[in-house]
Amino acid sequence: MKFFIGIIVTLIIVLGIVISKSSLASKLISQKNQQVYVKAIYSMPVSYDPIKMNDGASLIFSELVYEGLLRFTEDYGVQAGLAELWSASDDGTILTFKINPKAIFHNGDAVTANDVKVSLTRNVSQESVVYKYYDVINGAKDYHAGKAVAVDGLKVVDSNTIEIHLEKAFPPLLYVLAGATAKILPAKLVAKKDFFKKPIGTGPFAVQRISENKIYLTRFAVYHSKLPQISGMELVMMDQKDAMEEATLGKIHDLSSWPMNGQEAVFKSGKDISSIVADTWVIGLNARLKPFDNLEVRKLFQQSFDTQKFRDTFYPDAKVAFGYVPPSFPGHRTTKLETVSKIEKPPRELITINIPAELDKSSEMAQFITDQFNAKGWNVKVVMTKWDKMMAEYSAKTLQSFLVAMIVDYPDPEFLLNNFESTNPDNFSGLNDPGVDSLIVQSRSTQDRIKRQSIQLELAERIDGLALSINLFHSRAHYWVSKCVEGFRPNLLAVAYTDYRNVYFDMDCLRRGAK
Amino acid sequence: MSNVHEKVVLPFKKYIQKQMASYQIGVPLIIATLIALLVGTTVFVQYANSNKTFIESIAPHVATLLETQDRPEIQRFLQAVSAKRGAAIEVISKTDEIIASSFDFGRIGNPFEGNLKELPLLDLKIN
Repeated sequence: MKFFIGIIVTLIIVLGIVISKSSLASKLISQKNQQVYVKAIYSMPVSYDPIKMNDGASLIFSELVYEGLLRFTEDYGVQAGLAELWSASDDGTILTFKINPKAIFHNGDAVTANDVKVSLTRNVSQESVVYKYYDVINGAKDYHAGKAVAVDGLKVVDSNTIEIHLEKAFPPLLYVLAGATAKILPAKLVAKKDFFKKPIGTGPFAVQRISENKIYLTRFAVYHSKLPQISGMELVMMDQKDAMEEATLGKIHDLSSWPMNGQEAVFKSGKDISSIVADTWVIGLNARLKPFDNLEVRKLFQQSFDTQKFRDTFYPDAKVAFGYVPPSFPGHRTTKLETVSKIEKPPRELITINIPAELDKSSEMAQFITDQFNAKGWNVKVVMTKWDKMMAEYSAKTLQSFLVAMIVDYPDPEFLLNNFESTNPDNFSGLNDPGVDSLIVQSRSTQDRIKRQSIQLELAERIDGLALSINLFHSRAHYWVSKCVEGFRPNLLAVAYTDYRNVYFDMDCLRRGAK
Repeated sequence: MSNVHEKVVLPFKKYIQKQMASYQIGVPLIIATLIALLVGTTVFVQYANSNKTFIESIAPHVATLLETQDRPEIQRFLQAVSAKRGAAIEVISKTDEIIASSFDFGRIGNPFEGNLKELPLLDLKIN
């Protein structure tokens, strides 16, 4: 009897080992066979240079191909990027970063502190559109103004250690260093003329090829941190309608860069990953151009638009926006700001509002907006513009009015509100208000968190009172991914920060789909 | 023919043992169950009280962060304290919306469907 029991126990153990080994083996095989992940994007990146990025497609590219000293976690925190260790001096004015010795560029060169110095120096150069985020670094202002040949505050300690010296303690700089513009590029190559035609980074995916409407990326096999599971990615530019059709046919795996409301037909055949997101959809007004140079006209324009009807029609589960700052950030408004214009009759000048042509319902939106304003006596024309063209004109500040989603790139509202600083190159509204400028400076120089937040509240109120945007809504994201996609976790800050290292295919699901 | 109703003579000790056999098993079982229930309840009450005290002690800070609408900081704070505490913490608004969660940040912004039951003696709600 004991003999038979012994035999049965041994058999059970052997069977267990075989099953676990075969499941591990099949998992490994399944990972090895992971196919290329196809993600639709609404436009090609406006720039491949991190210091010139301020549109969604560019930021998505940046997060995949480049890497900074730090990275964002999925819920507003920071984690190790190229830096494996970082610390601050007691007074908070010196940040020290130890670079991970395993970190290498896609061409095989090791990442050094000099690469960091050169890359961050580019961030404060005159060609940088994000200079304002970094101007707290010692010597950044002089370098930007052409008064110095180097940035004093960037000090190479040894090949793997860099110190960043600040004018004053400014903890939110860590967010900037985790963001999509603080990426480290190879010092000896970045100045070359054609570098950004096939850029080299240190991120989890390397550029294989860039064509007119596609970006081919491959998994960087010797990436220093968590290796992506998918073998590669294709970023394919198309409009939302085509993207949804292709997704239904299984040719696209990811529509997460599109602003969707979860009610689109495509969701019947895929996953709806719904999440809060820190954004405000606005119709921005350019105060440099007539008639929006007049505050009273802006107020009347604001009052003439039924934002609730717009929201209910196009994004029914979005939240009402009473102000510019999204929910759960200091400065967010929870009640309507009562602004009454001193004028009653709209001017007769033609007002052109640009909206992105790639949106699924752009025609309906255009009609809605035109009807709303013209019924109130305005002379409004809505133009559907290709996103890259719209962004180029946005950057040139030539758009009179435009529909965009303003995203909080960093988990601190100062970086959203400083869009209104008169000296910010990204100041879309053209506002030149000494009160706003002064509050931004105060916010930056105040270390007490609560005091700083009360300044930001005052700043947000002042900006809302200046009627520089019609705040349409705060969206709730509905990210569509194929039903065979696993590991897609939204980032609470912005979709651009989605960590594609965690994403993989359920191979059984793909096989079933193919049959 | 033998007598089937033959009487068996038992010693008194054995007779008592036979009569009490069911109690020999039952009584220790009941006592063990009662003790287990008592210990379980005590441990639960201890945990519940400890968690309640803990939540009460962090509530003012969370309230300040809520007042300033600083979700990133609430989220960071919850992550830090729940990692130390070994318990998941969520902050729920009066309208039952999940404002922050150390359990699963994907739940943030969704309605809290807790189906809470009140425990009057402990001044607690559980689900």
